[in-house]
Amino acid sequence: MKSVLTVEKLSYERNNRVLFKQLTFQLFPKQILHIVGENGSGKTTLLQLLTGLRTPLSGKVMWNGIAIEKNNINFTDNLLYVNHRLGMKSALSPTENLYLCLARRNLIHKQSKREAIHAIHQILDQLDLKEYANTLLTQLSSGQQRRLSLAKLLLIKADCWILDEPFTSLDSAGIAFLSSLMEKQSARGGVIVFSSHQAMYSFSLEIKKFFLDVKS
Amino acid sequence: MIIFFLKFLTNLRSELLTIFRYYHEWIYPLLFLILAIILFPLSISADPILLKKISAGIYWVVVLFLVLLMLDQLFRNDWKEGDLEQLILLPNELSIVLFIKLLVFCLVICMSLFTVTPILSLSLFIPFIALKTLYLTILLGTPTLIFLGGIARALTLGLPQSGLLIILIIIPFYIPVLIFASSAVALASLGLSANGPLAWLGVLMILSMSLAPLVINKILRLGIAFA
Repeated sequence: MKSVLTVEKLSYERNNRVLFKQLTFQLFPKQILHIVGENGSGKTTLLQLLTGLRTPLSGKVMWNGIAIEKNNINFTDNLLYVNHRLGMKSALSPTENLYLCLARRNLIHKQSKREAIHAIHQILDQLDLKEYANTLLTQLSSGQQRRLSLAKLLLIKADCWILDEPFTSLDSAGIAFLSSLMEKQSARGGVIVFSSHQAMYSFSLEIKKFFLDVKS
Repeated sequence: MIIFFLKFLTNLRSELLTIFRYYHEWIYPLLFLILAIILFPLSISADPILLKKISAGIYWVVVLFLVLLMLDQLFRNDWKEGDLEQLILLPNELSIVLFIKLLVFCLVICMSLFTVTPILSLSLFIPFIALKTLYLTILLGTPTLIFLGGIARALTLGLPQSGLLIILIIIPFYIPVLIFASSAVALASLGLSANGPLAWLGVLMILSMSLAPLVINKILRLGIAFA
């Protein structure tokens, strides 16, 4: 089996402090990688390097064997990145936001607008956000906003999920829901990289773990 | 083609909704412009001959201040909410969405200036024959100011206190627009043809509108904002 996401000799420095050096790993389909580290250990930076938002000092990240800068379109079509930011416009309602998201990814043409809106409503229903479908995001609580950011994972099919601390400010039902989502994604053959500062989450699957230390 | 058109419309609609739901962000700078222009003749003197000479300059300096005040808001919410990050991760979207964002910003400023200008021109004694030229300078001048300002905004996006830096970066690039625009209005109020400066404003507008989104795209992708 070929590895999907490959990291080769990745090094990165921040404020003259080496965050990691010669980092190398491979992820095969169906694998989940959990990055554990304290605050300030460089979890977010590593995930940003994996998405291509930051460029590494040396080394490269490869998707299907090709560096992500060269494979940009194929990689980003298959990438979903969720971080502590909302990733949506707070002046719009959940429905408007998700519709915009579909339009930007060219996913509207397959279905008419009404069908797209219908699919969005079904997803909001799954997330218990149906009554807020037309409320502006500024009026939602932070937990609800957090749950809404999971809607993208349901709405768009992508092979690579990069989730930055996805479990923070979710209630226990939300955590269970996200875990089941991740299991489904893994069963579908996708790869997931996610970070948190706790090492333990109850998964029925085996996950790779990877610890980042804070050392000067 | 249809997909592209649909995408363009969806993006345009959501940008317009965003800017109108956050109307307080552009209403206050606009009030500042109205007040500044009304207070000017009160504090100097309501002498029509004197004001006729300097009114075009005053008007355009205040418009420039308005744009500088508003530049700080450009992209700021998108950046805070992470919308911009998601856009950077979509390879073919960023330039076009940036263009739409800047265009909507221009539309809001132009439209609000268009509505208040007839009244303000009375208080500055800008002659009626120059009003058409004044409108043209707004139409051709403000897009240049905003699209160029977008570049400075993108450069300073990750910094906590970026307001002053934006002004320092962008003022030199605003000088030509200021000179051409105010000289066009001044020429027109003397009854002369203002086609020359207006043509230059048009050139600057076309160049900045077509090139700025591409430059901003590159700047955002460099990841300066993340460092």
